[in-house]
Amino acid sequence: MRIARPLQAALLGALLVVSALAGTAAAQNTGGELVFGVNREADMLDLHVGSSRYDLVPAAQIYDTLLFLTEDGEFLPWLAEEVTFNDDATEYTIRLRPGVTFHDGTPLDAEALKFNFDRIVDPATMSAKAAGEMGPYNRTEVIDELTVVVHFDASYPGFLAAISDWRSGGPHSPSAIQADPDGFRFAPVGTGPFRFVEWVQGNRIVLERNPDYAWPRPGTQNDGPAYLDRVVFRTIAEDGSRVVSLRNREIDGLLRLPPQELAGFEGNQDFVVTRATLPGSGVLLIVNAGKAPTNDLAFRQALLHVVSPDQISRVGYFGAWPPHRGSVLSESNPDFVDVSDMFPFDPERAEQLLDEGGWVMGADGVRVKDGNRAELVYIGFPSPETTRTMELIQALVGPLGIRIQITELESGAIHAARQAGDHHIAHLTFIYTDSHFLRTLFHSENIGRGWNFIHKVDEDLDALLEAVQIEADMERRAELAERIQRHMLEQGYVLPTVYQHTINVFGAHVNDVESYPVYGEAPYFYDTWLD
Amino acid sequence: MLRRAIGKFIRHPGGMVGLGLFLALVCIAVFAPAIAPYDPLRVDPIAALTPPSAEHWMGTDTLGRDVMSRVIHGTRISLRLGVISVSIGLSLGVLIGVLAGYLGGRVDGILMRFIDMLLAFPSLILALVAVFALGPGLTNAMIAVGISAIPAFARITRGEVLSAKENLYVQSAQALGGSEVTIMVRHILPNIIAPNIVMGALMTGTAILAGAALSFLGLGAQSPTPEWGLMLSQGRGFMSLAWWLTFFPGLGIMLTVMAMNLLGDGLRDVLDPRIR
Repeated sequence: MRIARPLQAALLGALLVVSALAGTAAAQNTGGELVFGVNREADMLDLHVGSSRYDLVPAAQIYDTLLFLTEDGEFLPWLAEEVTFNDDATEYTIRLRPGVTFHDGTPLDAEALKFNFDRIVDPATMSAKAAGEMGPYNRTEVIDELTVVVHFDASYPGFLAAISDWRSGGPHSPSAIQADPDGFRFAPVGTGPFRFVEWVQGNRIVLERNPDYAWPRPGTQNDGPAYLDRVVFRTIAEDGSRVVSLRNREIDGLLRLPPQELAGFEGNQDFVVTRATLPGSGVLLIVNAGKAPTNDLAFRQALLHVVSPDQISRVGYFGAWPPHRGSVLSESNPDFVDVSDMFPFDPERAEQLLDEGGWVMGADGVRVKDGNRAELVYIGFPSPETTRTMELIQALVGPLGIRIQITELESGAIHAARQAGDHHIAHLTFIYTDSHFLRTLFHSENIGRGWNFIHKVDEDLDALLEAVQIEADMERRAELAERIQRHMLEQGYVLPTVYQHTINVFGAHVNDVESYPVYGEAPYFYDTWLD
Repeated sequence: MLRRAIGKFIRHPGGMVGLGLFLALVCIAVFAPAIAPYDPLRVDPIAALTPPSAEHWMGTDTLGRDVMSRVIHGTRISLRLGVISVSIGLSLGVLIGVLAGYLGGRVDGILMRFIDMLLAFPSLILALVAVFALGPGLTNAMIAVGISAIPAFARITRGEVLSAKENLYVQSAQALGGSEVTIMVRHILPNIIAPNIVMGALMTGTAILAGAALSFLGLGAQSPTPEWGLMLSQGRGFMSLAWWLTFFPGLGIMLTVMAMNLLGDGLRDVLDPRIR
């Protein structure tokens, strides 16, 4: 058994940060209410069950995590005082920090942690995402009041990342869940700096300060209860209205500034802009290799030569979201590799590939091969940025004799259509930090029922994805991840566009808003105070 | 009688303005490719979001497409949507109305309860339900808007048929042993055309507005079609940065709907026997 080394070094670092900043804490104003405008309401706040990224925005204040993952890829102790694992990463020993209680007074102990892990993987929970993060979980063994050993059926190096995420690593109160399992979705109880007060569906979620809070996240300035009395998450779906509400001071901050508005806020002294590139896939266009005409490799590679991330960033996102330089991992993922030199923007090369591949230009300006016309169906969400992107791509591929029909659907319909393979090109974004998650998205076992929208069985790819999930040696893992990234592009399974980027804006009277360096979308209001 | 009606219409200022605007819009729609200065789908990212200028009279959109060319081509789509969907509503509505009014009894009861059911929903909600069932797209939007227009035509037709049925010439035709189909087509139908023409003109404006609303909601025309509602929807995030993206398509909708309403009002004043 060995200790996760970064943990020790980081613990020391975190202690230094906390002690250095402890003296400044007295200057902060306490009290007040912060109203934060969000573009979409959370689906639910039971993170064991739900999967929406918008759940995390309020949830990040309600739940703490066992470990805290820094931008440098270090895992720092938080609710877990220490995490150690055996050489083949099949057993993890977690020692909890003493004295932590849930908002309902239930202590966070070994039994509570076991309850959480067992509930996540229980099929009855119907977990949409957290269960995937638990990998080949077998069982949790309670050693003493504050210590558990988590057993896996196979090597699972991704567990450290999993317990740094709120879904599987943010303990939910067992007593509250047992009292009302379904009601918990809309009345969550965690250990975080703010506790749940009310949820007015379609309008607002209200949280208030947890007065007993004394287990701060590493690197924060505060070390007791939060400064703000209350935090209100108000849903304002319309981008323009959210921006106007901020300018009129009806709200104190907003999530997801539309990219075209960035120029008006950056450099404006009345506002503070925070930006972060999210980990995960970035904004990808997944190519269906299971049906004509995109089942043709030359055709897919030709698309890669014209779908230019630089142009998409500039036109679709006004340069505010950076162009994707990788294939299926973002710049902020630890195993990211820059593969932008593999398929540079080159329409002439695209034309050559199509000509050589037997795609003959028809009289109506559409290429044809073996009776298959180069007409593609795109399926995606109705978002102004992706619509602009697709309209740009339509214009770029048009002269090559390729037509694209844009179809925009709501989330339920889009997922069914992608699973059924109705598309040639489908929109996909997914947030994850660890490369083991690539299996969930691209393994052929997930065709038709999961997230694989390539619709082609590729045994080489499957083998690589299985290997990366269980490889405990970090260097070897990185090598495998690089091979996957190159393979995905070589085969033209994905058309990378931009990194997922989040731009949040606050009035200048709002101080010390932190964002999670890795899960950058959710602001963290523990240190925040108002002028 | 026709000459008198035309003469009366010519003296109706609102009707003439409506007719003039309508004819101008029809000309724009017919000659759109010749009038539009650019290809409405031509993307030029370098010229994106150019304000109105000598080169682009109505500016350019986020992809550098010429807004004026898109508005001109949008006239075609909107007029086609208005005419086709009103034709659907008119033909089905008149059929239901004539059958219900002439046959009466149980047929009338069943058909009119069906129409009452449709009337219970605001027409846009009805169109939304129809387009959800059919799937998004311009053709389906036309069908959906057409379906939502059926009740108005059916009710007005039924009323006219009920009153026409009492006329002596209908009763004589019946006495002479004319078949019901012949009586409906030859004797009743010509007498209910006038109110339906008025209703058709007024409904065209409503239909264009409903079609634009569906496209605005992402259920009608799909990108990159230069449809006014869709252009409004795509421009709404840029109101403070690029007003021309929403102003000109909005103006197009306003002028077209106004033209159809003025024309409809004029026709009603001329053709409605109660006013006449």
